[in-house]
This record gives sequence, C-alpha cells and structure tokens, in this order.
Amino acid sequence: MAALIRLFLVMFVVQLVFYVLLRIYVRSLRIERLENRWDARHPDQAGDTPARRAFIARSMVGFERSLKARLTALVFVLPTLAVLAIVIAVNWR
Amino acid sequence: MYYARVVVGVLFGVLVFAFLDYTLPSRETVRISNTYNRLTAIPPSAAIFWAADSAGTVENAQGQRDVRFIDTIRPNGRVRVYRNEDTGWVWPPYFKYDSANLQAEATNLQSSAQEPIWVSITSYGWRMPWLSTYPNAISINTVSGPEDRPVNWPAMLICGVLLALLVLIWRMWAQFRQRGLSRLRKRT
Repeated sequence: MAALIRLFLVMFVVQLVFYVLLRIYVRSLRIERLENRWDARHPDQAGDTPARRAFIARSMVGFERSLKARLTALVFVLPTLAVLAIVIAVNWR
Repeated sequence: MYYARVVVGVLFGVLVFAFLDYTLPSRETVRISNTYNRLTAIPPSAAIFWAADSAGTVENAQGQRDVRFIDTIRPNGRVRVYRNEDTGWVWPPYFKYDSANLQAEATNLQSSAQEPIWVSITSYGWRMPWLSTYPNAISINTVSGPEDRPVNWPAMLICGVLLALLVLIWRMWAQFRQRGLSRLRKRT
C-alpha cells in the first residue's frame, strides 16, 4: 500500500511539472500565432508595439476556457489510464 | 573537445539502448521443461537485477530469497531460465503481482521433448550467468509451434509513445529557445 501511494505521489509530481511546461508551451504557440496575425494585418504597426500588446492581451482573455487549454489537463488522466491498462494486461490474462 | 563529445554521445546512446533493451518486454517461443523455487542468495552487486525489497519479497537472515524459476528450452535446443517475481508498484513499471498464478500456469504447461507444448513467454531483463541474473517472466501464452513468433506489439507501442514524447519535448525546447518565457519578456 505504501508503495502504491508513493507511486501515485511521484506520478503526480512528474505530471504537475509536465503540465506547467505544457501550458507554457501551448500559450507560447498561441501568442506567436496572434503576433504573426497582427503583423500580417497591420504591416505599419508590426513589431512589439503597444497596439499589438493590447491586441494579444484582448485575444488571450478566453484562452483558459479554450479546448486546447482544457485538453492539457489530460496530462493528469492518461498516465493513470496507462497504469490501469498495464495492471489489467499483466495480471488478468 | 570534438572527440570527447562524440565519445560521450555514443556512450549515452549505448546506455539508452541498454536501458530500453533491459526494461521493455521481449517475447520468446520456448518449451517449459521445469518449474521450481529455490533459496537464492542475491549479491548486493546484482541487486538491481532482482525485484525491489518493497515489492513484497521476504529475505531470511542470511539475505536469501525463495525465488520461483521457470526452466525452458528454445526451439534451437539452447536453454533459457526465467525467474518469476512480483514487481509490485515499483520499477520496472509492470505492476505484476500474480507470480503465483503465473507459476501455476507454467507448471501446467510443462512438457517433454517427445510431446512438446510450445509457449510464448513475455519477459523483461537479461540472463547474465556470471552475475546470476535472470529475465523476469511476465506472461505465458500457448502458440501453435516452434515457428510461431507473436509480434511484440507492447514494446513497439511503448517505443512509439516514447518517440512522440521526445518529439513533443524537442518542440517545447525549440519554442522556449526561440521565444523564451513570454510572460517574463512582457514585463521588460
């Protein structure tokens, strides 16, 4: 039982670290795409201008509720499912 | 400096390959000739090739364990000896705790050279006679004959998942190298 709890604690810590990194990555991809879109639409205001910063801040408002942001929570689900699948495949066949 | 980097890189590659080769499941078509358990001394030098102490194994005062073994013969006549130990909830992550059932299955499938029953044993680990290490049997399935070699799809699946993870981490690192942390950059 202690080994099982330790396994889940270790898994949770690894998942948490990976989740944070993945969130930073997905956010960064979205911001990059928004920057490129702004630069294409407003060639006269391209670059890191206040107008572009305001546009990106406005566009990122609903990001936490987007499908992509929510899918990153699968980081906490998939490893547990994989462990369950291995347990069943190894012990009940 | 260049040669040092090449040597370190090659050593790292060999280490990764050896690690995967040891940990991933492998399949072998064999005939079971005997099953037994025997008091086994586990030297500290080879302890990592045996089940962890916390996996439910009991050692006596002399540091010996009662380990289940499965003797098998390969189609080419050479022998292969498996141990049959629980891995429990620790490394490697097979979460195996049915070694008693597996031993019963193996005993049931025991056969003679005259009337062979061919089985495919899934296992992980290496047989190194000079270190007294044995592969750990995970599961046993009957096959139609010595030529029948089931595809080792679990190992392929794990390799595929690992490769996808590696690509993801590489993409994440490339994005970080290119843009840094956007939140930190915004403040400056």
